[in-house]
Amino acid sequence: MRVSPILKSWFWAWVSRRAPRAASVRLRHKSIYVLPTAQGWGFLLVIALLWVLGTNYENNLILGATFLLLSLMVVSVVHAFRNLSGLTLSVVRTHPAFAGEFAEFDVLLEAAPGSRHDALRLGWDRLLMIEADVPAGAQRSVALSHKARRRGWLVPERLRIQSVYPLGFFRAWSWVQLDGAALVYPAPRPTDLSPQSRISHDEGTELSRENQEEFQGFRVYQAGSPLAHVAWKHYAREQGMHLKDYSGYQSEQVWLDWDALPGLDQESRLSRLCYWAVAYGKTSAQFGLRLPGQTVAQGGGTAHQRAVLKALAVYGLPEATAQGSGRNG
Amino acid sequence: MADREQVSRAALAWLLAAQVIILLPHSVHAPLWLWAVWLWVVLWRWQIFRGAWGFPSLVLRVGMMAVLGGGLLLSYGVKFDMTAMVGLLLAGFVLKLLELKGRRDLLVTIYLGYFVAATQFLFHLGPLAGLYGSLSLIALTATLVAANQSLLSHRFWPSFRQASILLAQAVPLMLVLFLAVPRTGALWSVPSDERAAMTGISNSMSPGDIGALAQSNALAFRVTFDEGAVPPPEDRYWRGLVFSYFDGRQWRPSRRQEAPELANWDRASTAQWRKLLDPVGSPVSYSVMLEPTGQRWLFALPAPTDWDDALGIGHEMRLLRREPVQQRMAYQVTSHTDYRFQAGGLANWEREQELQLPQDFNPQTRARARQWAQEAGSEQMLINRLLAHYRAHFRYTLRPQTLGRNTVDDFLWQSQEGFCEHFASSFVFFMRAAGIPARVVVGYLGATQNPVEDYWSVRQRDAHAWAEVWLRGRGWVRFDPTAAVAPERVEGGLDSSLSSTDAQMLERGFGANLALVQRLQLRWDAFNYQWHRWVLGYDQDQQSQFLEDWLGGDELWRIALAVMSAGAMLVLGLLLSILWRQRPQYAYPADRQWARVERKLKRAGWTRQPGETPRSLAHRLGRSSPSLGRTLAHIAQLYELVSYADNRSALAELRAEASGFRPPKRSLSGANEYL
Repeated sequence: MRVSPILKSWFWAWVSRRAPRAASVRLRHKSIYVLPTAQGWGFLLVIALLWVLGTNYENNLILGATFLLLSLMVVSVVHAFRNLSGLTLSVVRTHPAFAGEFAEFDVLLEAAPGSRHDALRLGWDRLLMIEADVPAGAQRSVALSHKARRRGWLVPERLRIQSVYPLGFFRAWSWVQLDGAALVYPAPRPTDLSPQSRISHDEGTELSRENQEEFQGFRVYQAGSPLAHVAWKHYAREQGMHLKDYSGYQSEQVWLDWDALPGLDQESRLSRLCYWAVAYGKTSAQFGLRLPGQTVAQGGGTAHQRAVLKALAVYGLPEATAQGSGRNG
Repeated sequence: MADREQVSRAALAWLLAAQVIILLPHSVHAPLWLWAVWLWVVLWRWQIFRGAWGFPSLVLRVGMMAVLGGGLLLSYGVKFDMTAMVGLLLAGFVLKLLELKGRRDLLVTIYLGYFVAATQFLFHLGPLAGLYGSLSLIALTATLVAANQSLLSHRFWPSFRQASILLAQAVPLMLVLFLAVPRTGALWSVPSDERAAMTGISNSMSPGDIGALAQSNALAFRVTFDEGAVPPPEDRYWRGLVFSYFDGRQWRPSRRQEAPELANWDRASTAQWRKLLDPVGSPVSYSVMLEPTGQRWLFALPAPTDWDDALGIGHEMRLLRREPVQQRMAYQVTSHTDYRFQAGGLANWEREQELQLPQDFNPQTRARARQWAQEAGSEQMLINRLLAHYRAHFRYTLRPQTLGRNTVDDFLWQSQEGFCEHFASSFVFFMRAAGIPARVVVGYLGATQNPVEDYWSVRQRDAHAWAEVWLRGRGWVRFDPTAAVAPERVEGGLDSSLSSTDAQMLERGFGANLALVQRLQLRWDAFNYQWHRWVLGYDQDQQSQFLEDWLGGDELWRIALAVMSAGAMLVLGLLLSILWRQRPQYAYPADRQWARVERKLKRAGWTRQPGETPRSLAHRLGRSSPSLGRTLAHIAQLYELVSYADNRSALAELRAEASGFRPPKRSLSGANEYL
């Protein structure tokens, strides 16, 4: 069906007005749409045939059954609507993803007081619809996937939620715009060229490079330090928790440097930096990130890696998109 | 939607249950082996479910359908009518189970099931059939709900509950549609089902026919007399057929009597022969609800003087219908039980017809008739002598001796025992032999009142045959020779007129001797009557009357308006009940008042931010609008008093504040409230 673009944009503006973006959306009569399905039309055909049968044989019981089924269809409109009405949706958590993969959104479905919601199907993509039942007075969390095409903050468009329950004659659906954005990291691109800058190299070689695992001494344990470095013998002798300090760890201090990747465009550089950030994140190395006009200090651990990846994800993007979803709905 | 293609276990279980429920009432016509086929198909389906067997191939399916079709052909015969078509549908409905792979197949099967379920009403029409039909619809709808349920839930009974609720909510609109949607009448003529054997009076009368009929307790028709003007028992002769032709054994209508073109279909016709009826005295009006007879004649008290439009009248003043009565039908008649008909004389052809006798039959009776006619001074004296002969020598019984070739001779002068047809037949034969025009009339005699409802039922056991004799100056006069032998027959019905051994042959309702059972039976019969009259008998006439009474006319726009508003009312009512059920629940009374305040704020453009307490909200809004801030601070204080100090008097004040709260519209310049 070809619809003129003006009409289409007008329609979507109208839909958005009726269901503005919000952190938590309760489905109400304003934003629920109901239309017959192919099965509904099929059932109407059955009803028409029954009417002909009943009329031709002047059989009032067949006519009664015909009218009962017709009324059933009318009633099922309301029940299709009811199955969505009052349902509250909110994004409780988002999971970051790399560009080209799927970002996951944990969406919480809360039942309306005193009603249950059966056979709901929701998702952004018709091929990735998730099915869910929400019993009366209950909550259900569903993980919805959204294709992450570009790095940056992924603010999903309208989420479609629909159901044909209870009889399949009518489909009730709604478009929901939920607050909540997932971070999309650049797609990691493997490269042989190490993005380590020379400066990091100089600092790293001050201690002996040939014997990386050389024992240096003890340090006092701090929460979050790797357990593998705990001096368990000291701990067993009740001398307190200490960390064995090796010189080799200091030499693994690296900088992932934008300038170390000459001759590449912005996205290619970010992808390669991303690759190395992922690679170093798997080691115990201390690594930092240098981007034009922005530096992430050296560090280790998951939180640090996330900070680095986030910096890569939002680099160079306008402030509004970088902030994710503002209150601009 | 690949994942929706599967068929859930609950849906399959419901489909099997629905099939049993739907197939059961079709057992009256469907061959018994269809159940064997069903069991076999269910077994196969179970094996498919277990993964032991596969789905049948296309060749096998075609083969099965051919074998089943052949079987149906053997069972139903080559004639393809409605019953055979329903049989074919049943077979398809059963076999469909074997190609049920996905959701689509399931839906097709369910839809087919709805059609098959409705066809049971072609064979069963009583109130119990209606109830049972609703059960089949619930089972099918439960299957449909189960098919649309998510595959996560294997719930079996909830879909039944859901289906019952849906159908119950559909009933009010169904009633409106039933009453208001115009009955168009048959779109094309459908072949009548000749297989359905109907008990009742047939088109001919041989000795023993009516005696056999009298042993059936089946209902023939019901009558409601207008304004309670019930004719006395001796006038309750319901005329149906007139037999003027006798072949020696069987009485039949003459060829002229059977010719439909001789009947008169215009009620107000001024045809010459219609003027030969001369009603005397006051009329009696009544409506008859006739059970299906498969015949074209109707029953009425003589002589009908006014009747429904669609009916016609034959030369012998009997009511006719163009089409056989295949379904229960109601008609209204006015009769004058006192009348003169053809008193002025008979036409030559008519006289010939009413004097016809077969050659070389009953020579003894012919001779005796001629002799008695000479001895008698008048026609009336001859009749009296014959009736006295009956009274003196005859016995009224359901089990007479078998008669030989000359049935009338054997009966009149030898066996001298018989049922009404023997008496009527011999009486008419004797009159004709004596040169007096006479004919046999068949119909019903009597009626039993139902004390619960104000109607009278006439049953097959009331079937009767009597005679009409044409007398000079008086026209056609009814004589009932049976009454000469068994006068109780006229007054008290069949039971009182038979010997006790004979009476045992009569069919009765179960437990006819128990007062309680009898009362219940009467109630049930009364309910049945109402069902037939108002549900099954609701036709174009009743509909236009109903529409006239309730809508002030039967124009299409009135009907459309009524149906639309009924539908809209139903949808609106259901919606309101849903919204009412989903209204927000407040654990504390103060929360409800606060929600009110917040709603008003929102409407004026102010919104509370997540985590903001009433007090901090008042503080923040106070920066944009000091007066609003002050009011809100007061409300917030009350809110805290009620919520945390359980201050009852503050609640009343909070309620008053909340209802009187009028926040100023937020101006656009105040947009910095987020800062």
